[in-house]
Amino acid sequence: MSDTSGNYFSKLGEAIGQTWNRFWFTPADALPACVLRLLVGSIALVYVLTFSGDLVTWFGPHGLLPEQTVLSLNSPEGRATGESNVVTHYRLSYFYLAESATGLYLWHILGVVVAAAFTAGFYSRVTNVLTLVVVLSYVNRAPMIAGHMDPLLTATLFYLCFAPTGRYFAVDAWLRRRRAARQAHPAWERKTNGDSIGANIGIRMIQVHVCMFCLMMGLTKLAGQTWWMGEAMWVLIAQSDSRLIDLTFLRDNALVINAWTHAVVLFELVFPILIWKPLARPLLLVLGLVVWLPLMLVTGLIGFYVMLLIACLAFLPPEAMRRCLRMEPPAAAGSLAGAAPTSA
Amino acid sequence: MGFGFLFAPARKFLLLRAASLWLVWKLVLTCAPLALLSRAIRAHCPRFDMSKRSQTDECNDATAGSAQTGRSVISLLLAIHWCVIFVVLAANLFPRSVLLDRLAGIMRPYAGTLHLDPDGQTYHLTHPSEIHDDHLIEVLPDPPAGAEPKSLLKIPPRYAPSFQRHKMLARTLATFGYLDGPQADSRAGELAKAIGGHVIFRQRVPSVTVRCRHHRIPLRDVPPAEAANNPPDPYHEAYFDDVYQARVWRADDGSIQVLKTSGRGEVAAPDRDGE
Repeated sequence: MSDTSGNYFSKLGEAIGQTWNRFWFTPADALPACVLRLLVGSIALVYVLTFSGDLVTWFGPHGLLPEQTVLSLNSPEGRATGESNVVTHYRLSYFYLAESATGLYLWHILGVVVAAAFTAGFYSRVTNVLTLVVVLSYVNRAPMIAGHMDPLLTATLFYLCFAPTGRYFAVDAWLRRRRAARQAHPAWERKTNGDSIGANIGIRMIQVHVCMFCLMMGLTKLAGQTWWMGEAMWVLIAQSDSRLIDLTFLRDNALVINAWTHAVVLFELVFPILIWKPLARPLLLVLGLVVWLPLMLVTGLIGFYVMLLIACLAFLPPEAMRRCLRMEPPAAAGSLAGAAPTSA
Repeated sequence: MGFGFLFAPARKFLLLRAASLWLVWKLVLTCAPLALLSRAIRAHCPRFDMSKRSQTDECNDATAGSAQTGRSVISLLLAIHWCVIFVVLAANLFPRSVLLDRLAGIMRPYAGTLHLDPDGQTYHLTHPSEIHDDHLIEVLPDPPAGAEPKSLLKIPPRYAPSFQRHKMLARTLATFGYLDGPQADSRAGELAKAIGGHVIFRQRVPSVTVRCRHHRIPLRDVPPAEAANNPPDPYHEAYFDDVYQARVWRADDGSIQVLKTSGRGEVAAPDRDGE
């Protein structure tokens, strides 16, 4: 009996270990990470740029959230009562160093430059980390106005730090090609060609995070009475200050409202499970568009849903991405590894 | 040189660092079972093949061995990371267990620093109820000008990114407004003071009334008897409740002062004498 159970646990451990290693440490194509760098970098850049007009209004000495106000909300008791967005001491921001509007704008311009460099793939390893620091500085300076999109944006930026995001569509790739052509050194080619464990880890982390996020969204909905009663979509539609489109004509269509409500919950509960099945993946990605785009229009949370859809691109297989972008497979790319997509 | 220079005010730094160390120690204690688990998994895991050809000579065996160690460390870090993410996401649902609350508190230095913790966000109105959306902040002139005074705080159009920030600010003030107790009052006062102070500085007015309002939604199924209380216009005054109201003024010494004039369901006219 003990032999059988010992055997079982030994086999279980082996199976878990093999699956774990295969899942995390199989080298993968860096293309998806590079595409995500381009898109997430653009979102980060837009995020930073949106502060341009009202940087002083929010963070200035006479702004809506001056430094002292933010710090005075910093107390551990706030967390115990379930209050949201209470600042705590580990929230670091370089904006605390700025004491005037000029200082704020200098940091802001620096942030814009860093985010733009990351989006362009210029020293992408370094600018990825710096862009994360930039975005966190905005978030941590005033967490009470941090939006729904911010946790997804910072998470994705964090995970991309592990991946070689400068191999495609990047200034880094262009510079590397030039250097390789000039020096005719095969080492450059080897370095930029082939799959990478880092790319796999980065993409896998985004995938797992998105799944956990969706599950959290679905499970929290189950805790709300309105979702069980099928009325939640009406609550969203009727919030007249937020919505981008007016769907109040659905008021008398109880069945439509109910069906829509239940479909959203069902999708968010099913997505984290079925997305791992290759056969169901394309369907779920399309359904993601169908479910989340209308929600974006109804709730007005443009940034969040765009960010969610971008993060879902991590589930696209690299081969499919290459086909869409009309790129050669990495092995055949040869000395053009790191090149932009072919024009064919 | 640490990151102390980033903290403001600097005098809090030592105390904060001690608190951070304590939290990190708590995190280590929490992660100890994870480390044991990782060791167990490693013991049962087959040795990872770096590549088939590298196993043929001893030199490459050594490389594979160091890769195995690196892999184990990465695996452990990944396991810890996902435990943290699981806890902070699971703890985003209220009410939550004491255990989840404490675990989330322990893991917050890591998750909070990287802003991986949604920290009570109503995720995309995941559990929409009337208290979770459509709050707004109005800053009214004091004394009020006209029968329907306009807010002195300009709210951007709804498609602008800063609109969502204004909404989050209103929600934060409303959250404090809904809570009872001196601590919530004090925090609401701080926020109202900052908002009012901003408008006083910008508009060069001596005093203002900061008001946080809740915009209720029209019900879908209105019983005929209650039709009068549910007019078709969603912006009808019947749909607005005051959550918090405070008078903010500039004192003679130039400092900004605040006085709560009413809370939820007890809104009264502002006391113009500030008493």
